[in-house]
Amino acid sequence: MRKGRIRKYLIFMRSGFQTMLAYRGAIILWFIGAIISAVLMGLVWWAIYSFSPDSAIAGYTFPQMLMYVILSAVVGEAIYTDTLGEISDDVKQGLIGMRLMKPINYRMQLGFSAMGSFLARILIIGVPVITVGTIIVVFGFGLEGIQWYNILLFLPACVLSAIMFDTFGFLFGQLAFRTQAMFGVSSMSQIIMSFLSGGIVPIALFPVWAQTALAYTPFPTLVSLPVQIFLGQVGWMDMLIAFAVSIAWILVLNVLAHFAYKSSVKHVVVFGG
Amino acid sequence: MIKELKLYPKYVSMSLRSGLSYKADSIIMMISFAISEIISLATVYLIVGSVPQTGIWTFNALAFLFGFTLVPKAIDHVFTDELWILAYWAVRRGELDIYLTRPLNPLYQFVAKTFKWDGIGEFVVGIVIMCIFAPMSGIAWSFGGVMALLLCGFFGIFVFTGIKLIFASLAFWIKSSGIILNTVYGFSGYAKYPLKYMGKAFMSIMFYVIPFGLVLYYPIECLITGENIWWSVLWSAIAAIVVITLGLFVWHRGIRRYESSGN
Amino acid sequence: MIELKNVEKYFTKPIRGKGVWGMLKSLFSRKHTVVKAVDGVSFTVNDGEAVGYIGANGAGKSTTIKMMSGILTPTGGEILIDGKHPYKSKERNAVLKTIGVVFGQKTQLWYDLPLTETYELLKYIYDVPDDEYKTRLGELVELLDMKSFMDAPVRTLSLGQRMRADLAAAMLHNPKTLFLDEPTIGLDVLVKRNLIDAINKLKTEYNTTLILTTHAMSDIELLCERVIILDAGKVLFDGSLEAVKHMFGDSRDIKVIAKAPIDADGVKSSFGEAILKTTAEDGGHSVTVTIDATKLTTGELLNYMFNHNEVADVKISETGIEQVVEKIYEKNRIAAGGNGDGDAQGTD
Repeated sequence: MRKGRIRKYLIFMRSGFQTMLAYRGAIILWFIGAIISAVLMGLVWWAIYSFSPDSAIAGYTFPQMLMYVILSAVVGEAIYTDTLGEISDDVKQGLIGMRLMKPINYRMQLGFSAMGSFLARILIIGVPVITVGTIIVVFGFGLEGIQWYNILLFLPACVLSAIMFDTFGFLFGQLAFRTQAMFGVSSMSQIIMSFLSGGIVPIALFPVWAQTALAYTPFPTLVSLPVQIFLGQVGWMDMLIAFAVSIAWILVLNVLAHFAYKSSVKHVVVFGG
Repeated sequence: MIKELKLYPKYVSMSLRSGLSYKADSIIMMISFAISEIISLATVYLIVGSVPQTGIWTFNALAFLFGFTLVPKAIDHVFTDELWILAYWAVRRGELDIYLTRPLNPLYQFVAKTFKWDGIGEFVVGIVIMCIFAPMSGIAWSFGGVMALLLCGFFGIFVFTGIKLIFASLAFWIKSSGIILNTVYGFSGYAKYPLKYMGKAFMSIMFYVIPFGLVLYYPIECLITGENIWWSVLWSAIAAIVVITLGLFVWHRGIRRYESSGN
Repeated sequence: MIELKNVEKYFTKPIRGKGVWGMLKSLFSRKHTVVKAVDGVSFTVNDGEAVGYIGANGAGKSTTIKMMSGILTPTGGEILIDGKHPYKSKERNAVLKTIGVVFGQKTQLWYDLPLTETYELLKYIYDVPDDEYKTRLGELVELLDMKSFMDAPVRTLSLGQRMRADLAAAMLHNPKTLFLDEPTIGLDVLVKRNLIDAINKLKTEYNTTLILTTHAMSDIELLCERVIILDAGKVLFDGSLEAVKHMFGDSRDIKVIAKAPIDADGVKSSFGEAILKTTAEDGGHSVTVTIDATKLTTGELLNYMFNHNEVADVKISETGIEQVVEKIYEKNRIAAGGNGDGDAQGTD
């Protein structure tokens, strides 16, 4: 019984993966765009480092910062799944009632499909881009301290990040039941999440109070944690704690999402789809 | 041309009234644009604040530059937002048919149809930031300087519009050019950094290839260094004319290839 | 007067490679196939004529209408509407003022606003004087029965209402020619009938030249006097509706149902060559007789039937244009060696 259910959801994962393959042209273009903006950001940092009296800014040497910029761009592009958009489309097209009737958990369906698309993005584009990027930064700019085990640990950290991004998408997606302005909700939530998760600049550059505050939020899991693990900036003990905290956050957010969804469903039942 | 100008208020009023049912949408969009610009400014602050502030490009000066880049961007956004639709869907879905059958410039009809007032959010943020940082930017203000800056901003609008038109019109060849336009448009976001220190190659690109640097960054550099800003006015005007001409050229070539698919 | 002289429209499609690499390569490759959507079409339409333009999917009918209405530029040949080219930028506006266009699948109405708003805008675009606009709009609202939904936002209209509203939008500036591209697509039978009646009224009222593409042959039978049949970008037939129907002879199908089995062979031997075919069904209780109407009248046959059988029911059907078109296609396919898609070819 249980096994059969999991298999059912694995089908969604596969279809998420295949959808990404079908749209690979667009996704490659998005990645190229992300890489170009990473290069431009690298130039900005190059200018900034030329003014710095020290070789390191907020604990990052220039090669490390360059690697940070590349990795955060790739992670941001890889974990991006449009769960929010799917919910908003389902609501808009009145499909949500049908979805509710099926003996399939809507949350699980979207989650597995998102996981499939994440895997497609990270394996097909993320891995090659990171490989090339690392080679360039290590041999061209003299980046040191990259360990194979850190690169390996980067991957599970990305998985946690993808699950969390999808959860946030599902959570914010509940607004689709209440407002038509989902394009605005989506772009606003993404900008804010990207900034708070270290997707634009490393959290280490934030004022101390902000760093302390952010440590108590789920956001660093999204970008900062995987990238810092890759760069070898997180010790074994801290990493263990960070993983545990991330998983705890994912659980908490999913419980929240569950209740938000239940209330949305009530909304549908009361007001119609 | 006269007919187009005379009709514009009618278009604006129709667009505004047809957006009334989506008012909440527009307000949320406006807030989201404003927030995203404030986050961009915070980013500049964090980046620049990480090194001792020496030379002319203090955070205050960069903040003023940042505010200035928003103004032409916002104005272009209000008037020609529909070009994004051209880039992403309109060609693929054959949405230009209607405009081509009417005795009025099709590009005008297509663009005039949407008056995106939520872009005013960026405009206000830009003006407020400029006002706050103008006294602290290290610029020696004069009447001529203000006039020149206004002119540069005016030409800047056309550079935004022209770049959008060029890359959106590429959709006539490749069906959907939205992602490419998005990437090129993204270059405008880097005109708010001191280009002078970002390498000759990149500066040349931002001056002569995608001239956001020329119309956004260069005028402010002139003002701060005390160089003759009227040179930058001249350059901005040239950039605006070249980019708009190129945009219209690509559009006209493209519309002849238009296949009106999507049935 | 509308003249098409050897008009061609070719679309080039890049040859897409397989896989990611192939896709990237195709961005830079110049290899493409040429699809000849319209391949040397010529005809003339006189003022006041009603022409049905038919053909299978991809036969090029929409492409032709889009070239005539200024949307597409021909690859070769020439289109003249009262002596001007609709696709040349200098002559465009003059031509477009004299035509109206309705697409079944695309609306020109503003989605979130009442109809009157779009009409006002069109009034300015086409420079229609105030008083003329008022009387004309009044007439159209009356003729198309639009009073009940003039103030509702377009998004709330039914498809049938929307089509009538689109018709009015296209007629506001009193165009000499009205192009209709699949106007009845997606409409149910009754609504479709209403719309066709409306178009007929417009045609008689304003003496508008009508050029219509459609899938539904019945539309053509109700609206047009002349038919142009297109296949694979070429004109197969151009002539009057009557001529199409009689292209393969003037025949009728008469179905007779009787209480006792009918002697079909007896019918055949009595009338000889005038009987083209008999088909017996239901153990001979029901017989369909196809007669050559030039040699035998329906009355003569029925008389015979009534005299020889205890007739329960009779059904007479004229050969529809639908069957004729099918036959034309069949004949053409055979002539072309059974290869209908021979128009794509690779070039460099």
